[in-house]
Amino acid sequence: MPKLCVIGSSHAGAIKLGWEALPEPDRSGWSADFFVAVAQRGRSLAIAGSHLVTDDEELRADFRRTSGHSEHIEPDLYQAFFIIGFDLSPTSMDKLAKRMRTWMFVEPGRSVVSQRCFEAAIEGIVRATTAVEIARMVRSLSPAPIIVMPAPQPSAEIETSAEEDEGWLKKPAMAEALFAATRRGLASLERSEGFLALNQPAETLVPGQAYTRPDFARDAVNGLGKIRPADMFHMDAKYGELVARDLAQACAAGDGTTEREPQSLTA
Amino acid sequence: MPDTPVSSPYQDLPPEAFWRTGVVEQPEGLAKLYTPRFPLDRTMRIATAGSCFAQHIGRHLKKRGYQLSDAEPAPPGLTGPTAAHFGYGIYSARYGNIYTVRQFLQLFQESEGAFTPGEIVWERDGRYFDALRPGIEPDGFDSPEEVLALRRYHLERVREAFRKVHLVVFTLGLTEAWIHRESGTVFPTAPGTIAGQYDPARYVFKNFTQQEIVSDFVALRNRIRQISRPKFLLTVSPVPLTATASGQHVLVATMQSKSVLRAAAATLCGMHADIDYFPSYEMIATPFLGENFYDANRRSVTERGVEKVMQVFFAAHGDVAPAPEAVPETAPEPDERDAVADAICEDVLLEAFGR
Repeated sequence: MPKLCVIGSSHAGAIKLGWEALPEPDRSGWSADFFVAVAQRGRSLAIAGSHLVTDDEELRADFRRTSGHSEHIEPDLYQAFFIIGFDLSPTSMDKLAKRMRTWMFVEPGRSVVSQRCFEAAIEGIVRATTAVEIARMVRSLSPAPIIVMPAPQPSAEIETSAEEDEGWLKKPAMAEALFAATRRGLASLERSEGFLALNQPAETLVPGQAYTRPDFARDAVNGLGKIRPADMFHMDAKYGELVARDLAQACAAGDGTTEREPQSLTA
Repeated sequence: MPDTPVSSPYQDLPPEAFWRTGVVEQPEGLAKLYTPRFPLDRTMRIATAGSCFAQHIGRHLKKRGYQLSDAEPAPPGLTGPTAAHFGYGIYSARYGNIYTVRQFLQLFQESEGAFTPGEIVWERDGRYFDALRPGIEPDGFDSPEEVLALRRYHLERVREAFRKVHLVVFTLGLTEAWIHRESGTVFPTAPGTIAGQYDPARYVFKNFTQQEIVSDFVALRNRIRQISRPKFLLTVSPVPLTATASGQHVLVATMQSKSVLRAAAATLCGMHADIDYFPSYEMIATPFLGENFYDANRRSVTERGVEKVMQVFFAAHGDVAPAPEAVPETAPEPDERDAVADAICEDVLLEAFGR
């Protein structure tokens, strides 16, 4: 039975529940091991021989707990890899992009960059993420397909939330611009580094927007499967199941493609 | 009657005052080639501008840990060659190469609202360019509105770039320029080179005289001094003209242009104690020091030439420690390394028009 290695931050929690809920035939004969960690700890992963290891005690404990058997990753054991989240997430992208604006969104006190420049900057941010760095490390140890996916888009409730936000996520047009640029960055990464980018399932998004449908965020789960009721950035097991289904299809295809068309926002 | 000792105004002059000892034998090397008028140290905030050779000066200052004013830094995610590709990190704001003093003066006036360019947007193949800094977006902008929005922001940053600076380093590059007839707007490149369309009814060729350059620089200095009290360091670019529209042979036009710029620099130094001249031009462009510092195209200055010039500059300021090796954020590919070291010069594009 081919085996998938999932390496992710807290967003992998929903995927784990979704994967477990996926009917056997939909898994296309694949099994999966999950290595889930707090996003900030991902940077401590390093290569030692043919393994991915860490000297961070807490990350080792996270890995042991989430995988159920190991505190390091042995890429030789897997036929595909799925890397999700870490700082490849709308919130992390927004944190870095918050001080800049493209000309349509000019605001006092923000630097103004061209659309092309914005896209190049976002691509640069994507390329420097922990998720992509882990993907590069895996690639150096294994020729198996590597599928990379950003954390989900925030719930549409962010638009009306009381939370202050000076970045790109609260205004729909801006959130869409950041989302589209991130997808373009990932597409460029696919071309240049051979990783496969898995898009957020179209049916989980509010049509025509870069927000996740709020119903997916109601009973959001974190990496250890705990419920986060008021979370606009983590999703539930239903969301996880849709991603898991696409993921299983991508694994079965061996090239990261799914039967679904990508969301039109990237056009 | 006692013998009167032979007397000459040259008899007590130091070795560097004589061609044999100053140039041929060089017992003290080039140490005396440049005596700074004012000190330079790492606490000073330095603004840089000028023709493409100025990029080398800025790069070396940065490499050695001097504080360069950067009022328009690259956004996060844009680093190294990609940032330079978009005109970031090259000068103190994203103005690209400023080849003539009039262009610099107009830019500063525009940032103060005292000058309105007659033409800002140029088009090429459905993309739009800022005619006053066409090289900063190599693929152009999406729309004229985007050009104008980015220019508005840029002008805010230009003033900021020269605020609270202690030194302005400016490399005089060209005397030849193309001007918008109606408004007098000076462009850094000829219309039709990067974008736009040459139309003799709209644009006119201008070859600035020494007097005009001096007068423009004095006006610029006065304006900068309204927001800052910097000293000024001038250099003349040793890079020859790629092409001339003067009607002369390009070699003759180059020598005229460089001579005019050199004379203007000397005049300015003579007028103001806060203006200094660093003779990088003499070190690179003359054959007398015995080394050829030009590439095979006899135009681009070799990295060795730049290193040599900068060594003399820093040594004159008592900074003799070897420059630290810059550690790139990620190891660049070989072609990226070249891109970092090479100056970005729009005028090279004129070569495409040579038969």
